[in-house]
Amino acid sequence: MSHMGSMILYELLNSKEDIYAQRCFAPWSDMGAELKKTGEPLCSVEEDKPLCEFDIVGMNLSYEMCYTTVLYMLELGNIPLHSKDRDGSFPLVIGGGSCVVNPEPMADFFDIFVIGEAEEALPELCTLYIAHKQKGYDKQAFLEAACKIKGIYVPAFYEVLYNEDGTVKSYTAINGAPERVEKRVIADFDGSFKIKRPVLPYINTVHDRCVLEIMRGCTRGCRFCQAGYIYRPLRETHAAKLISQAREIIKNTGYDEISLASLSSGDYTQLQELAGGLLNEFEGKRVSVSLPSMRADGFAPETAEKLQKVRRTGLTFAPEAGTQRLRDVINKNVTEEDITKTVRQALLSGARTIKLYFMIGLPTETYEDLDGIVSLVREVRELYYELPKEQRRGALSISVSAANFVPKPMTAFQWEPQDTMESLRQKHVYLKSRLKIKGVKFSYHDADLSFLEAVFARGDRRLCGVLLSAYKSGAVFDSWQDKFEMERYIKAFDENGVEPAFYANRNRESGELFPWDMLDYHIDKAFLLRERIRAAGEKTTKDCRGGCNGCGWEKGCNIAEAGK
Amino acid sequence: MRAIIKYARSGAASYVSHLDMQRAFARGLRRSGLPVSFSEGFNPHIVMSFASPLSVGYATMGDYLEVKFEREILNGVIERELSAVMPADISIVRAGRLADNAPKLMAVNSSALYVLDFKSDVSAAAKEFFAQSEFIAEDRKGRSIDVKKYVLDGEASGGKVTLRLSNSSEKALNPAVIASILGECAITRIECFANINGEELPFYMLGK
Repeated sequence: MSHMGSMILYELLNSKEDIYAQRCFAPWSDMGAELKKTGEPLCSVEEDKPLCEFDIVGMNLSYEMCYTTVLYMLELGNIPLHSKDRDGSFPLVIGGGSCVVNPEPMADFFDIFVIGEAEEALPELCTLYIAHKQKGYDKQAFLEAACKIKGIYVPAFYEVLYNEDGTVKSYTAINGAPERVEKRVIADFDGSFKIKRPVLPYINTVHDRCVLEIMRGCTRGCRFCQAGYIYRPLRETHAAKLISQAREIIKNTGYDEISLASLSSGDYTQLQELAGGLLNEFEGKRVSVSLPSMRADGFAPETAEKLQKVRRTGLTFAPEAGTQRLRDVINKNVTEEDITKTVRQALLSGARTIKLYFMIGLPTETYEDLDGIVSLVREVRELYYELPKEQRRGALSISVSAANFVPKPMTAFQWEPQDTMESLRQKHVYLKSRLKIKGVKFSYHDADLSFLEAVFARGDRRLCGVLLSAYKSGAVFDSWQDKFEMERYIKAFDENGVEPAFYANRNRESGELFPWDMLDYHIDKAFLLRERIRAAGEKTTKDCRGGCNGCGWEKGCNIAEAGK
Repeated sequence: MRAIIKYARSGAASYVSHLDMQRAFARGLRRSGLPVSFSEGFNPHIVMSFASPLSVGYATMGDYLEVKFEREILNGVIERELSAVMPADISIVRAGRLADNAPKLMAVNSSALYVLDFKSDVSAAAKEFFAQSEFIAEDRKGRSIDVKKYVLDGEASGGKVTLRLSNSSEKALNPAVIASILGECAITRIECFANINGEELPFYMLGK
């Protein structure tokens, strides 16, 4: 129960009288093997009901490397994998989550994808389902009605043709489906459904605390960041509303910790009011409040004092790139001064664990940028030794993590080739030898996995067969290192006559039709192209709050509307 | 005030680990709104401790924890308020006041009574086991020990074996060791006993 989207939808659906939502999780491979052996189906947590007996089965797709695990769950739940093999007697299989920006590699397996925010679309879909069930359910008739709901994408209703070079030639909407499926956005985010009684598992799950979603969307415009583009426009929840939500959650759960969730919590405009309110209300109740790292100036004196009382144990910072040039390319608008200032402040308030996140393989990157990472790490380390001696208690530990850049759809870098695996591995070796510094730990992501992520992130429907082959040869829980085997995928690409580099490492033409172009996330391709050109010219783009950048949101974005 | 709380668990809660059980009680106490005491320091936690950890997979009808409260609480209030907020599979049997100078529950832990529920009749084998003066078996750490030294009492009838085993900090045996001699079974702890001035008493006798 660590995934906020599932938590919201679970509570929301169960607040409706005629809907009963239950949970089901992928059982670990030992239990999966037992189920296969005994022929017992995978069941829900609440009622121990087989998946195949539900009306609708919804899957959260948050990460490309979970795709085979989705197939594993369907199979264990006695549900035919392909949409075309499921008649009305089987559950409707629907998906949502951040991967449905381009769900095409899973298109054959799903009946419906919900595009965008599901808080309104999903209840509408369920209501329609109930109406159809009452008059005698026919899957085809239902899908034809469902695709009229804004945000509902029925992949079977789009016929895709390919060019000889393998790129998409065209897609045709059939059965009355719209030309393009528009992303759903909650009009009144502040007034929308908020979690009040989250499920409380006995075991210690990730994010096992009261989490308040203070904001949706982000205005910074980092060019690599899919979330920054697809969760637009920026919307906030009122501080007063969040404080009463926290009160209710704490009362219902007994949690002793509150944290804030958003893409960039430091940008929340009511942070002072919220922080002050939460600290005032919960300090006496021994509930700790985790706030984003921020400067204490600008806060009311009593709040600032309370903030300073909180001992910082660590600081996590994501400069993403090692040089200002490359940070300008990706529009990560932090300067070296910002970084050193933040680190110095954290060190002064007692932080001894500094985590620095970088990406490697970014467009235009050279070895000079890698050297920049090394010198930035050295500089951060120096800051500690510049502290007065009496303040230098405890050893400093710096964790440096390098993720391999994966170009994502609906970003300014959606046209870019991913760095090859060989090149990424060379960069790992290079950094590893140069970051052998006392107190510095260096870790990096597996190049194989990043390559597959890049393939599936921008893949098309011809990858459905690849996923099926990989699954049949045993691929499941691929994001667990001990379960993942690259050979299964290499074999699967081979068997299906698919060249993975076509998806991962190809430089796309600016006019190319993308597999996901039937989905409208309200981000103009022209805007993304402009951003791509600015990136190549090492030109930054300002935060939307400094003036509208014309991304494609006209209505519904406060910033765009204010500018008119 | 110090309180001693007797609880039972069954069903899915039997599979909750000791650490998770502590957290479930801490959250339950917070939800109840009872005036619990907190420790000092950066990460204050509720002042409470369990008499004896219960292994994963065991149900119980009589386990204990003590909790410190900021003030006196009337009889019956702890049971009522805590029962209202605990998960269905964990129930509050009774609660009582613990004298301020009473030893920590953990320190007086002495023995525990278990029922082992087998699928088949094991009474013959169990009776033979009880009749022997010594029985060498492997404990959970793989050491060979005379398990009879830990068996204080026992009887068998059909598939049910009742055992009272040493459960003190110096000398304790997990019933799984004996279960493994006889076969597969479900284990329920029936009661925990304290040693007070040489007398073996169920823990609830410590509460007033």
